[in-house]
Amino acid sequence: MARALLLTAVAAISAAIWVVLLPPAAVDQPIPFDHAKHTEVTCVACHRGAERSARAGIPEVAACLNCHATPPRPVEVVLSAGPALPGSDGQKPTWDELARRARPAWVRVTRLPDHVMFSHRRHVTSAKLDCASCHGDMRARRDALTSAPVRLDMNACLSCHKTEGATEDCVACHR
Amino acid sequence: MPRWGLVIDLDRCTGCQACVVACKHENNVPFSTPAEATHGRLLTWIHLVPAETPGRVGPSALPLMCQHCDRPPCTDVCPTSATYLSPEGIVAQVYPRCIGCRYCTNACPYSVKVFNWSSPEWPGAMAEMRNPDVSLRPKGIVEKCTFCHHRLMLARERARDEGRDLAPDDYVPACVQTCPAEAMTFGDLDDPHGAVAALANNPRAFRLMEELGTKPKVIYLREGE
Repeated sequence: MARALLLTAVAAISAAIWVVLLPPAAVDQPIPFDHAKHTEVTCVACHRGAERSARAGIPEVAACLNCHATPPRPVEVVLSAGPALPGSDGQKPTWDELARRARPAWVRVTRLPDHVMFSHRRHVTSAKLDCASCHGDMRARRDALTSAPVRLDMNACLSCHKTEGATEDCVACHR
Repeated sequence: MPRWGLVIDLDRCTGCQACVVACKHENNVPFSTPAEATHGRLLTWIHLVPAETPGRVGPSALPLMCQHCDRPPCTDVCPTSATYLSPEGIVAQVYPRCIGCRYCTNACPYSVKVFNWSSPEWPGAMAEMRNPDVSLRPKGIVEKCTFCHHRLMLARERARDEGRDLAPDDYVPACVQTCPAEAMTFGDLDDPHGAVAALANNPRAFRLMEELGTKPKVIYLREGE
């Protein structure tokens, strides 16, 4: 009996360690984006929603064209290899056309549970929080993100809310 | 700190149910099928209760939603603290914490906490009209009126961005905003100069089942016999 209990306990603890410590599954991004090369622009130059809406948003190709005169090579390769765009009659679409119409299939890596109602605007515009507070130092990242750079949990949220004197009412975030 | 309250003038209410529709739309309350309604599983956060008023001509109804009691019986029985009285007097329901035991639905003397018996579904294009500020509740938990708390959050955010205090008109629930007869007034009960505090002291004012000592913050107005 004691042996069975011990085995069960070991299995449970191993499972817990597995769940807690195992890094989230890595994902493939469509473009090997280098954040470190883009430190001359602010985060919101590409993640435009951060200051004005709940979601920061992931940039479309059109955002690249604001600065780039020509497409980065990997972008063209990745996008051209995709399905034919409607109305292109099977011909290879031009870069301008791609920039207007194509959306790279970026994979979102930082996710909160569905029951957390998080607003970027509330934290970035109203509370003047630095993006690095939650996302870590993205300016040093040279590779495309394959998993969330920082593990976010409720303790992290609450400790900041306590320090900053923000609301600790449950329904402020869970509703 | 404000203490939010709602005044409903039953002498003005026409029973049009615009508040019921506005509430469903604002809070992502899914449609119920006729079969669910037959089983008493209609999902609405506000419903109209027929109210007999002697001598009154025309339909008479009483919009009934969570009364946001100052002494809520539902919060006392919740085993997971999923429902609690917030510092501003709103009886809150934290859906991820709710285990669907329905103790609170039975403790509520007004029967305004509703258990959702089915997964939320919206037909076709209606799914696009859901409110992104309110979560979609999974099947098997208890839902209720929150005085559109998410609107308070947005109003506070807007006021803060504009560098001013929250004005009385900044935050009103969807039902109050929609009522075509202007029968509903919402605001801070502790603001002595506010419209709600004045109406709450009106001789026509009464609270539902006051004798239970729940101290509701939804106040009804009706001319006596």
